[in-house]
Amino acid sequence: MFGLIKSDFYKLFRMKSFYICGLIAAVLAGLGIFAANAMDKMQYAMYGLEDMFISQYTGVYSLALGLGSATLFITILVSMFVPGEFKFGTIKNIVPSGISRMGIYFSKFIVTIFISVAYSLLCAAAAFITGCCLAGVGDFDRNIFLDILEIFGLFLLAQIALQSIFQMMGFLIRSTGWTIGVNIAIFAFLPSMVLTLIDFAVNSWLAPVVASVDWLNSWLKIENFSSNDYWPLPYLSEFSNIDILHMDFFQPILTRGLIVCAVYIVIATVIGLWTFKKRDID
Amino acid sequence: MTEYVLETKNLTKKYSKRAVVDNLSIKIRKGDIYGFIGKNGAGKTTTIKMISGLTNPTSGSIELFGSSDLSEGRKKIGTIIENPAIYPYMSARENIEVQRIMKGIGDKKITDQVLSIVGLSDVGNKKAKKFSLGMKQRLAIAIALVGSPEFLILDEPINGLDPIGIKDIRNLILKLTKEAGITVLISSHILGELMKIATCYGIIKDGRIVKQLTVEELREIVKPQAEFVVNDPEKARAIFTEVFGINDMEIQGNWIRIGEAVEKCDDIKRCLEENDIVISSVRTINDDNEEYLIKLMEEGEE
Repeated sequence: MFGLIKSDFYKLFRMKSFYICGLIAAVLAGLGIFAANAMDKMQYAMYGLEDMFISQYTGVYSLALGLGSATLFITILVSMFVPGEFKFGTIKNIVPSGISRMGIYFSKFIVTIFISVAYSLLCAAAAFITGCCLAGVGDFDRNIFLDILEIFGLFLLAQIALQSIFQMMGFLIRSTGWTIGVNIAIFAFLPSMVLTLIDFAVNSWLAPVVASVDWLNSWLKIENFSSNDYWPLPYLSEFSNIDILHMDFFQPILTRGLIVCAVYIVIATVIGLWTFKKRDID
Repeated sequence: MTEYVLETKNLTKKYSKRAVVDNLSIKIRKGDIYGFIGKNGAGKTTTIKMISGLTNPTSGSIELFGSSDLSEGRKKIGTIIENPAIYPYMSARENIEVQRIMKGIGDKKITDQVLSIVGLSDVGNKKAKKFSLGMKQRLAIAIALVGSPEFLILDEPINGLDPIGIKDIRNLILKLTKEAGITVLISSHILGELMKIATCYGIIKDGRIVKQLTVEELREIVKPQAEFVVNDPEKARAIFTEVFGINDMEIQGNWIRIGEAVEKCDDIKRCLEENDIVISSVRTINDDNEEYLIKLMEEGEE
């Protein structure tokens, strides 16, 4: 199993896409901070306050913001790396060597966690450097450092929840092209299209029905249902906000986010692993 | 006691209700080159996939090296199933390294050794995607050889190769069995090639094993014979016995069939003519092992 994990890392480090996606993600993270800073500056200029402009995008402030830039590229790389074994047929070298399918699945899981950590750190570093260049390092003390570590942990949990879904898709679809397509659709379009429809259906049709039946209403009260609350993607941005650690207002979001992410990790892993164990390899 | 590397008992694979492999029982002795023969769709690859763990059997059992602990047994096998399974974005050396690291082999020399065995030592950093099919096939064999397997499973390893490539692979397999004592299960529908190396055969038709036989048994069954039609069969019989020492003989009217000394057919013919025997026709029959195996593949055992 340890050998398999090592060999999976060996494969990853020999993929050009690993470096290319990382580079683009880092550049975009830096550009994102640069663009946000420029927008602020433009707004100040519009109101004639240009002389008073002080950039809020210090290195420390930008650090957490940069984390989110990595997700699209993590999606792409995981979608290439996981089903790649099926595409090249190399899964036929791994399975017959006596390694359990659970071992194979978890080895990939560990490598994809590494991709998430590496890309997130890379983007955070790029954002930090850009922020430092624009407005200096900013206030930095031990507490902020600990907050950033905590934020990074939370962000990573949300990231792993998504990545578990992407990995499951890779094992289900077994084709890089289709997996990239489906995973990008999940990442980019699901919240804006499918989840909005679900919200509309629940709030417009289901909620009145539930409200009209007393016993059902007392058991399942539906008020302003938002399916986004039960989907890990929004928590990527929620968990990039340092305020979530300290303000009471955010505590329910933090708790719900932790549960939602954990549930997605477990469910996606169980489904992915179960199907991988049951399905034949062509 | 005979040591078996592989033994399957009533191995069955069904898709929906159709049995692709049906109660298949085979035994492969240590050191054999087992030619697994069958038409396309006969169930060869499905059987190999079940042995390798890629496909779950519907029923039946598999034993590797006398044990039903397949995880352990599979650590001692090397496989090539259908197309060469390689990472196209890596060099030959890197492809081998992946397998070496995965199998937890610390000795890096193994990479050079297997590359040398398959004749890919001098390909440098060329990416595998730029290899010819023959080179890819040899690389796949090299990958299968990492970890010094005791049992090689090769599914159609010569498909798509040119005659030189086929010869290279054949020689390589012979070298591996001779020098490293590796047992080989090789499936192919290119019978002629298989017959140059196999020491025993399993013929599969519609998912069922039609016959298993060794090369010796095959030679015995498909013994070459010659038929002569002559004007004086009694005189011819005397010549066969006295001059050529032939006892395996059958006579019906003017027709004589001999099962010995068939290779001396020209000498026999000359001798009969010198003794004033008129020969109406001479033909050798059943001298083609390939024909016999094809017949089994197509029609099953009579």
